[in-house]
Amino acid sequence: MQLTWLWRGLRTGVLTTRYPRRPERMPDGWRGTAVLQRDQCVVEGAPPSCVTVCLPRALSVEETGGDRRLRLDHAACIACGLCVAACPRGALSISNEFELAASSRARLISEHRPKGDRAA
Amino acid sequence: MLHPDADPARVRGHSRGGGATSFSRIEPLAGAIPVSATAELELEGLAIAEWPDRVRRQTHRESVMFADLFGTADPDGGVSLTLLLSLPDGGRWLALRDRIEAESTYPSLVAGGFPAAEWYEREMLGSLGIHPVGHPHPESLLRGAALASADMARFAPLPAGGHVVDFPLGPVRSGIVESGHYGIRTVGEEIVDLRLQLGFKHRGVEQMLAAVAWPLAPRVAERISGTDGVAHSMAAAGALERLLGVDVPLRARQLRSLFGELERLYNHAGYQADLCGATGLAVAQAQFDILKEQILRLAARIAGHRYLFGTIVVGGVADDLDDAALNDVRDTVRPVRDAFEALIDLVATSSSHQDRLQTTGRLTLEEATRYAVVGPVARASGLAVDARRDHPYAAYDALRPTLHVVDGGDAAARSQVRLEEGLASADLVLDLVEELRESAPLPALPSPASRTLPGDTVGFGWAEGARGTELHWVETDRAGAIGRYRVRSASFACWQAFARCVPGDNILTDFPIIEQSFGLSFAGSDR
Ligand code: SF4
Repeated sequence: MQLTWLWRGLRTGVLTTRYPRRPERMPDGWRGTAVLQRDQCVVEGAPPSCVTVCLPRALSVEETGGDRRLRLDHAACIACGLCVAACPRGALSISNEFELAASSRARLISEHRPKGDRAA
Repeated sequence: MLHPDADPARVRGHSRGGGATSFSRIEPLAGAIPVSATAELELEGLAIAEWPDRVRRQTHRESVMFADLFGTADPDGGVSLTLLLSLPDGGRWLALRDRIEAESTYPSLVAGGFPAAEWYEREMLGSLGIHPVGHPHPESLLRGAALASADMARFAPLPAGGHVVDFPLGPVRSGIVESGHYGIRTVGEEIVDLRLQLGFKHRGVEQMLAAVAWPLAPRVAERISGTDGVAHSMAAAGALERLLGVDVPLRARQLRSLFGELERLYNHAGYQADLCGATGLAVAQAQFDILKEQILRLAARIAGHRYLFGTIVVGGVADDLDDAALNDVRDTVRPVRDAFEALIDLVATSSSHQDRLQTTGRLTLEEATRYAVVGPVARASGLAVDARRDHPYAAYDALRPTLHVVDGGDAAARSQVRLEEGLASADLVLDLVEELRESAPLPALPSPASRTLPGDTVGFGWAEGARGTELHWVETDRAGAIGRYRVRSASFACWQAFARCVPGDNILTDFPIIEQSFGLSFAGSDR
């Protein structure tokens, strides 16, 4: 019996890949982390509709001294895609990105302040 | 519908051991909460003390299975208790309901002939503070309060020395094992008792589900336990659809069954891989893992998510599958099915593997019935229950899946049931692909998402996941907001029996095999 298993294992060959040495892509349509098209986002609405639907609160609005910024935390994003449908301007999309390892927490956060929104 | 026997004025207390005990029931009897839609669920207001008799009367007519027992804290301070029973012969559910004062007492159903209620009552004791009078171990089940032992009385502290050894195991363990803690007590090689501490993965999912906008409930539900994501989101969607009175189109129901069976298939393959890992059959472990991975990659291609999250929405499915996707499903699942079949024969004749499984962790039919276990664990102990057959949902009324029931009750029987069911799931997927080619395209129905839920109503949904039946119960308040969301997971129903079948005839090295042969989820149970 052990020989049967051994034979089966050998016949299967090597299936593991060379990742990460050889990069791999996920299939089209696979949902990776959300990304923000900065030129589209105007951070409108209180709160904006994307923030309302985001269950893990990966999207939030930061307000300091008249500055209004949209904050997207990729560590919290569960890639559900709900914000993509919620944004009226098509500013959010789902990427194919899954390599989210980062050397600091800050690198997992994108912040966006729309142009002309700076406090006087 | 109120049962004619339900006269709230008649029963005020419950008598035990000669002395009358008054239980603080409050009026009115909450049986009037209407159930939306279907004849599948009957809700009946009845004083708790009468429940055992009421069930006994029902048992004379048809088979009755305990399904759930839970409390709902009412805004005015009372607690509504609901006992949910499955009546598989007629494909119906029966819910008995009564209302008591918060922090008060009620007659324990364990004492009234429902041994399966033991953990459910202990859970309510911890979360709602209501006290079951006559319960054998009235201690909270919640983490930090008390532990869930096979027999709490036996697990008393023992004097130091002697031959008794306590092995603590978990909650942090090697690999990707979930957090749960076992206290294993041995004398020599033999395990004489086991206690199980649950709750490390408690995230308050029921509260979250009650708080989110209801169309998002399936998105939260699928995260109760990742490998049961489709089953949980299907049960959540079913509960909300019944609440709203929404009909799901045939093609969407077929797609739901397809996703459900793909989930069962990768789970069964993963289960066998882990079980082979536990017995040291390394090549078999790798072979089953390869099959699991092939299905997960298929899921990523057709649904955008390896664990099929996001596929089920209230009212139907998120996306249809086109012909190319259906071909992909067929071309992937067919070779997986054939490989699975070949592995079944190899595993069955691997004596080193079978020796470890046979007579290990035996759960008798009597115990399985007593603790109302579900899923493959029940079917491996000879208990023929399966929500796909007993309470058809999705496309199962037409599919009629075969039940795989064996008698052994040991790890070998559980493994055998899961092997046969894996093959059966692959066959169902292939059948569904052909049916989907024929079925009419998904109609463009308006999404129910903009509607408000009806007030003071109950919606109830279920689905048979790889570990058994997942139950989701939704109650709305007067304004139509979700007032109570209850999840009874298959794992919760089975852990109780697990704690009982380990001590006795098993030795310490059997433990990982018994644990793996049950294949339960901590996250699903802890919620
Ligand atoms: S994809 Fe989901 S989790 Fe991620 S930011 Fe959008 S809504 Fe939030």
